[in-house]
Amino acid sequence: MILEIQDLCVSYGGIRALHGISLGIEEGEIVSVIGANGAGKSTTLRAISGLIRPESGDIRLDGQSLIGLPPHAIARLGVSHVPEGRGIFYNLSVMENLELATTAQTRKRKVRHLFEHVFELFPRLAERRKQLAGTLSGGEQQMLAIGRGLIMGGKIMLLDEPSMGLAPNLVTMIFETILRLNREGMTILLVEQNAYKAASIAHRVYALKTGEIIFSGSTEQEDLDEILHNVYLQ
Amino acid sequence: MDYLLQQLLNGIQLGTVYALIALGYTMVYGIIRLINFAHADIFMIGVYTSFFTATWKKIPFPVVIIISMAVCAALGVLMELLAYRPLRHKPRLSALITALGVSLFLENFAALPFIFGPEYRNFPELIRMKRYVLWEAHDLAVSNIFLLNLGIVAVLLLGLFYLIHKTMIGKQMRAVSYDKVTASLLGIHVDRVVSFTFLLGGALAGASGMLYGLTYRSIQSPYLGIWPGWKAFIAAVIGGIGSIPGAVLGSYLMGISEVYANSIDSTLGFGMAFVILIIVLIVRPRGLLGEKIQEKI
Repeated sequence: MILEIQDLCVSYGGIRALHGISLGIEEGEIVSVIGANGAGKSTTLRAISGLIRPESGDIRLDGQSLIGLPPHAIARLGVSHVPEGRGIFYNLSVMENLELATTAQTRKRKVRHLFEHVFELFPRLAERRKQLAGTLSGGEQQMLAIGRGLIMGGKIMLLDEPSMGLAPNLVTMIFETILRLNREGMTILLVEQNAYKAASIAHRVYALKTGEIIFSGSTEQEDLDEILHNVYLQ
Repeated sequence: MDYLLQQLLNGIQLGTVYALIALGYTMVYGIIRLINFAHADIFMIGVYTSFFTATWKKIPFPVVIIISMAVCAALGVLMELLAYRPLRHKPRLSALITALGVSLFLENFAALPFIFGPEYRNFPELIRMKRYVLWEAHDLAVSNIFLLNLGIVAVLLLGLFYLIHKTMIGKQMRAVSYDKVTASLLGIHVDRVVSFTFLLGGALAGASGMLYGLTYRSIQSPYLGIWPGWKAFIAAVIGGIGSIPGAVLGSYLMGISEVYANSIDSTLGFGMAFVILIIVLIVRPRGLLGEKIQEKI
């Protein structure tokens, strides 16, 4: 288990958002967390990276507990969180956005190779490396966010709604990229509202509903329909 | 005409003092959205530090300015650590009121008889003043101190621009000023970047304090930071608070117009700052070089 969450409870100002969820990710897996708005998907990711402090429960990366560590320390331990809304610094150039991600990188010698990898994966970013990141299109911004995540060089990448607000062809491209990264060895925890797509590329799926896991395991098409019916319609 | 040209130079001189203070206000605001009212008193401590180091032993001028910058940088870091960091996640008004408190504390603490005392002091003549005539026909002249001021400011500004645009810590400062949460997710130690910003602002205020003493050669009292501080703050707002080139532009605008206003009537200078402020805020509420808040979704 590269990442293990046990009985995680999180509250926002007295309102409980996660009711003791447990989940685990093996090295080399893509695990998707699906669920409706407000089900606790982003909250789970925010708890992993230390942006919110859980009330109880444990989160372990390679056996080491992350509870109580500040976000920058967790990032340096190897959690590359690509946040919802992409978190691009509009006031910096594309290249500067990528360079900042090297802060989390502990093996500085690998950095050059990682930049080459990112530019090979997203040639558009290479073309625009000197441009202000605020001038990029939504799809390019998502590429930049994922590129930053790669340069961080973590053991696991957390992707929060990478398809949000993108045109269908770009959504396909982003999902293909995620698959490719996984084939290259990256472990991925994906949170998505686009449940069909997220389930189709994942090894395993967790379905969240109002802060509880109502399904976990691998999915076949028919299972998925039933799960989605439960998640969204009941 | 002759008179106007000479006054322009005096205005540039004053603008230089303001610019170094205004940068501290604008950088700190840019990074934690706090108007650090106590910044003016860091400048005051800079004036006194320069005074004491310069009078204590015959320490040469370059060493005095470095000591003043170091003391003020340390004070800035300490101030953030003790007064503002504990309030980082509290409503912004708490930190603002704290800043006023820190300012009052520093002024009145420094005025205690066994600290600096409230009395007037003469700043020692560190450098013998020389006059260079630029334009004989119009009786236009500059002093070596004026040139030294310009030189030091130029070096500090170039250094600052290099630091902010080319170095990793500068990039981290710009990232933290834009979005602290994402910065922390990338492994950036946000608290350390905030500390560094206070360090830079303090160092510049320390340099300004030294130049102030060197140029005007009088230390009125530990309350001397108040007015230059307010005017530098207004200059930062005029230039667009958060914008570094804006703070410099605003400061020179402020220095020059204040000197001109004073030359018409010596009571007009103070009012001038506010007149310009009001006009700029009506025409361009974000300030002259303030960034447009424009977001793509």
